[in-house]
Amino acid sequence: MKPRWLLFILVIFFQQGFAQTQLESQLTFAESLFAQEKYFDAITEAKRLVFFDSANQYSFKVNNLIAESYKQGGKLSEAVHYFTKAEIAANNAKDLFKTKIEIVKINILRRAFNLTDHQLNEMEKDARFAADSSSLQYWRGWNYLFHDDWEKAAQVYSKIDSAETLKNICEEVQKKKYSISFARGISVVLPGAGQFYTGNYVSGILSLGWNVLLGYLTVQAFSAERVFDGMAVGTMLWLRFYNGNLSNAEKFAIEKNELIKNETLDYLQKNYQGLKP
Amino acid sequence: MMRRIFLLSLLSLFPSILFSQESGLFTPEKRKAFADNLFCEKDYLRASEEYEAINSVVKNDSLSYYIGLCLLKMNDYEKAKDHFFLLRNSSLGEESRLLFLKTSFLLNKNVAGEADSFQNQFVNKDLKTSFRRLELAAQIKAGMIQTNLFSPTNDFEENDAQILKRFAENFSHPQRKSPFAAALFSAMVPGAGKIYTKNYGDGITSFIVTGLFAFLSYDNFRAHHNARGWIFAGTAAFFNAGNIYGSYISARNYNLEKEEELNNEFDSFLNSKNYFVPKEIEGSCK
Repeated sequence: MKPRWLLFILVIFFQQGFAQTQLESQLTFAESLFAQEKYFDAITEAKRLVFFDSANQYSFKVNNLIAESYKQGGKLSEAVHYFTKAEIAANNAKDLFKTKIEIVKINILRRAFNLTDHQLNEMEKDARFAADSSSLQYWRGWNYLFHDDWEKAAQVYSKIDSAETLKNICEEVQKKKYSISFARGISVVLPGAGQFYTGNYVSGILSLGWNVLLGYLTVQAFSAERVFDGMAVGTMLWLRFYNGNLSNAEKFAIEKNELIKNETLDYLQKNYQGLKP
Repeated sequence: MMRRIFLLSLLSLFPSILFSQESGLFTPEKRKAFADNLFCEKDYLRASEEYEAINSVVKNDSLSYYIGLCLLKMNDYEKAKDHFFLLRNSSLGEESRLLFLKTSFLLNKNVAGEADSFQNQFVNKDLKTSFRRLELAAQIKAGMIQTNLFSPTNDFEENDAQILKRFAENFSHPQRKSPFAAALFSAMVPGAGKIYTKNYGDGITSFIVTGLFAFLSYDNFRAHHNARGWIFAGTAAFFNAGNIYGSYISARNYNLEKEEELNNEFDSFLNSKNYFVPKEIEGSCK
């Protein structure tokens, strides 16, 4: 009788092992597609694994893989959806923290500042992540950075020893940025000055020229006691150009700041070696 | 003893032989189940790829039909239309013919000719009714007035028939403004073209601004202040040129807005009623 039992047990064992092998190979296949940067196919094969993995053995790993592939393909909403599934399947605090941080990173990229801030606050309050406060601060810095608040980002990074480079970059950007109120303020005093400050010399000269000409015509009309002419030129032409000059100065400063911000983010994306969203 | 060992080895090898032969998760049945799941998860691109892969091995009208549905759901109407056309005489011919007409309708193509060729080709009562409704909707959108909407044989409920009659009236006699007339009116009286296109605020502003600068120009020339006279004349001319061009554009925008408004209203009416294509032929998911 003994060998028959042995035979039965072995058959059952191999059958189970066979199913296991199939899923394992499927996971390896999906991972290899991901490694080859074939993200679309990696998602398909990972989804196939999820569909046939009735015991949800691979749920955490595969949902992470799908989410990461979606992220690489720029489909951030889908990535969050699958990271959330991975978060539900996480078995321990370490895995949970990892997926939560992945969601935070995507929200940083989506420039969802308030949501990211809220998520980081919630994680800080969570006792399970008490040992990871430095990491949370690090991502908080990135959140400020993407929110164009370089000063606060520099403050956050100054408290983290390993983030010296990021702190220096933030301080440098803060110095390079143009003051919008200063650009507008000097244009109030001298039309075109704000444009000069932001390096837009042609626009500055044109603005100054129009304001001088129309100002002269307004004054001249009043001196010739043609009050109605003076009012018309003053309000409908001069005032219009004067206001245009102010908003122009402001717009140029905003544009320049945007350029500085994008160049820095681009530099960080391509050259920064540390962790980034 | 040796025989038993041999038998055991054979049995243990059996799953791996099976695995290599049928490729485990890639059997047609498993692929179909997975594709159906993707379809229900609205991942239509991947679902269509899976259906294609199975269809290349096991030719099946149902798979082709589902590929067409995926294309339709992805709003790839041109490809979906061609796909359903190829299936018009298959085992799912009636459903395919109806979806072919629907995609043509969604592409704003003239369905009348295509519908004619499918007359008397519907046996299923529900699909036949859907076909007649679709044909009628296409005729309404094409601007042909339907006078028989209230006939006893019509396929619509009375309230909907009234709404459709109003749509038919609006499509056949759309509210339009001539861009050239608008420009001409503004050339004669500043702002008149904009008032003609119901852009009252802009029309009145144009009239006041252009009129004021023209008056100032005239007044300055009369008082021999020629420099200011020219400045005001130039400003008036500049404003009036902008006003004439603006009136032309305003009329064109008015027409586009009205057309889009009417199309959107009609499409949302059709969607809300789901009158024209029964839900079950567009793929069912639990």
